[in-house]
Amino acid sequence: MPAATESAATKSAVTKSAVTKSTELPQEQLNTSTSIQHSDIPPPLGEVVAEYRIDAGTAQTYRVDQGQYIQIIDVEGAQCSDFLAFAGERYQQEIDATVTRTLNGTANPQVGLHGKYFSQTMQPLVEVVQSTCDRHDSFLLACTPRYYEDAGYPGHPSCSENFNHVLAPFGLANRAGWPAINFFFNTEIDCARSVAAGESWSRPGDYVLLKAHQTLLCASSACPDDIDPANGWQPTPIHVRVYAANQTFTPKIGKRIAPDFPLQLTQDSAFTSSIRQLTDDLIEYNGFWVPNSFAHQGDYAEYWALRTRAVLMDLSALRKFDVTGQDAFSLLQYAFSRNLEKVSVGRSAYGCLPNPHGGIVDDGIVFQLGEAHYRYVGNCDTDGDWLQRLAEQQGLDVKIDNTSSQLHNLALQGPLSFEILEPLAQLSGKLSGLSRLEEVGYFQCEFAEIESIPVLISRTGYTGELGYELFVHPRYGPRLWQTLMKAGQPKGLLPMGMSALDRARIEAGLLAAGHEFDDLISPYQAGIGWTVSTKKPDLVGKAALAAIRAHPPKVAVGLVLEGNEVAAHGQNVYAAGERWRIGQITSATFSPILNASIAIAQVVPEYAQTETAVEVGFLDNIKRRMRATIGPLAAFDPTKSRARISLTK
Amino acid sequence: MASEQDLQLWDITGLDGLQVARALFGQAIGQLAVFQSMETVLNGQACSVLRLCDRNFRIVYPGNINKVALSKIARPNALPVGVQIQQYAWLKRVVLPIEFLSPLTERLTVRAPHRVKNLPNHQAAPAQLDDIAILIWQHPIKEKPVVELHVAANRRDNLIAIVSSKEGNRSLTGQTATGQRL
Repeated sequence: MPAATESAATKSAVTKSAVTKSTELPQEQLNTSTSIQHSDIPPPLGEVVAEYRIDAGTAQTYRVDQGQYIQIIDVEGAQCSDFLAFAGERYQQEIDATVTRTLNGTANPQVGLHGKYFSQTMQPLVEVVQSTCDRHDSFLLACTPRYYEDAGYPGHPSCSENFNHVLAPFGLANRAGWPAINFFFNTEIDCARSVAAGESWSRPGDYVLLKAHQTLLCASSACPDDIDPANGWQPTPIHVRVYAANQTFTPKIGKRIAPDFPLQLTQDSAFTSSIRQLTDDLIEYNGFWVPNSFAHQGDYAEYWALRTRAVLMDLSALRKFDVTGQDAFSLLQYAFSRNLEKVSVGRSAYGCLPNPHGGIVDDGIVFQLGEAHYRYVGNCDTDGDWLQRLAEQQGLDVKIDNTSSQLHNLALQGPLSFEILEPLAQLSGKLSGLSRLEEVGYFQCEFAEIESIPVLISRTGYTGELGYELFVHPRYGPRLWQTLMKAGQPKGLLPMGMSALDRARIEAGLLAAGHEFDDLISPYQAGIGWTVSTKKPDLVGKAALAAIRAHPPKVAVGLVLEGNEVAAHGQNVYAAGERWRIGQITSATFSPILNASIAIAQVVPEYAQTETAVEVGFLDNIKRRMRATIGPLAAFDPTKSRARISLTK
Repeated sequence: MASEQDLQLWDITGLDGLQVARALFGQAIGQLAVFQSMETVLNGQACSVLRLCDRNFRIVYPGNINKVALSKIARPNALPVGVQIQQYAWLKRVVLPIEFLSPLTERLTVRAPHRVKNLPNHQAAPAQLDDIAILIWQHPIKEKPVVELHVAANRRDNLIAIVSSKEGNRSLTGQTATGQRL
């Protein structure tokens, strides 16, 4: 073993309180663990075995044992930190970004199923376990002398030169540029296929937590680039902590949803522990880990269970806000698109929260749970803040509570959902006076007990099928999941993931935020103009909505494509035989029950008539166009007869 | 009835693969999830159909599926442009008695999200046995459950050797429907 390796191996065992300095190597090449308590970074996540402060514009090496964790912290924000890792006796294995991108199918590994960084022999070296700033680069080299020379800065320090300097004692030959993983380096492939770079998105204290899958020699830099925005024009330090191997860090992705909202880390729902026993295919959705599909089942099996039998889904990522007080009705009548005069206790309505210019803040359902008690169930944590602001603007006396953490929810959907739920559910009749499940109609709800578990049962869903949503306190979550799974087993119930759900909701013409609507798209364009009550005395954005209603720039339609190729969000829709576009695809899938490629699109009103022939552009929009026919938004059961079915005899 | 030796692997691939599979094997094919399979009858002969992705299927069948497809669905005497039915010379199958399933899955390496523990009937998964990549598939042949392994042709003998050695030197070739060279 080379002397340098031995020295590094020794240092891998250095503790916070025992700083070791080798006399065999120049000081700047040492991965000296610091014992200083740093107040400028977040507290440790666990037991620290070593930590290093990498000064601005420098690089350091450090050793990490298999199973240990590496936390790379951006101390002051907007600072890139390039990262190298080597395994093997002669450090012959190194992270290969091309292999990594190929095996993951992503530009950068993401926390979760596709989180590993691989070597050139496809062996995992490190895995991202947590990331609070999910914007890194794996396409470009660590900055090189060549970059600075070409910009007129010969002799400017670079990460590659810094790496050469600290890696040389380990017998690693110099390179003109190191193919590093460039954490916090903000790059993207733009519409011209160029690699564009800009200021890092990271804030002070943002970090990446990596798990070492092998014993590694690592090198991290605090990038010296001060000639462009990459580091905010001013290089700052990077801090590295190494945590002991005998710890468990749950996978988390940090997301910021609004400038004035705190960083949110991905969380489990009350059902996730049960779900993890059935699948490893979980994805981050709206701040929660949710199943994409289940082992030994898969998208199609789950889809067909939904359409022919029943499925159980975790939809706890929905956000719930309880609105109470003497002006609760007035607030929601003003903020929510539907006319709530038509909603009574024990009933609910689907609609949206318009913004002042007629765009959509969010879509959701308002439940009336009492004379002065409503619950809005939507998608965004900011919904409550929006309602609060409206209440203050209007001088309304209401209390708005975010009850999302107290109410997780399952969806039991499918033609056999009633048969499964009916023997279990003891309805209280407190809301609607209904004591039998078959009496609970479409968009009605009632409190109930399921094997002594208190739930709110709502006959609503996101699948186009008969179904129920069950809201429950998280402490009952695992038991409710097991009870429903067990009860449904004889009926062929399967758990269902997001992949099959997306297929089903597109068939049913149901909207998804970011696909069919956002804050620039009106309810009329999104296909839910029917939810806007124009007769209400006042509504947020009422004037704008009235103008858009008269002349919507686009309207939502369904498409059935002639071939079997499946379109995707953003693809262009053309007038048949013409060069000009008339709209774009917002969602698309292959419909198993219709045996057809279908899509939801938003097109100009002139081409929105049913049976109009159009073309969908594929590839470069010239090589291939597929004919399609305009139809109702919901390609499957457009009248919602399956969801609305009467269960009373 | 065809013998085990007569069974061959066929692969249907392409944009219209699902539609051709539906035409050949019936609507139920569309209800299979990826890596699920079903047993059916084609031209009076039993066959097993495994779905490999949205549009691709693998079939174990004693006859020539290309000919059957041409006679059943082709107009005029040619398959749709967007589909290929072919046999891969580089792919072989090894069939083991179902008793091999549990000990074999204990030794497999599987990449998430695939799982082989408690692999149900009519289910397959990609896996590795030592350094050999395989597709492991549990399904019935002549109503008898078997473990079918698909492996690169040039690794088939290595696979059989490894399975044999790890199964206490049980002779694969001495048992029914095992180690078939196809």
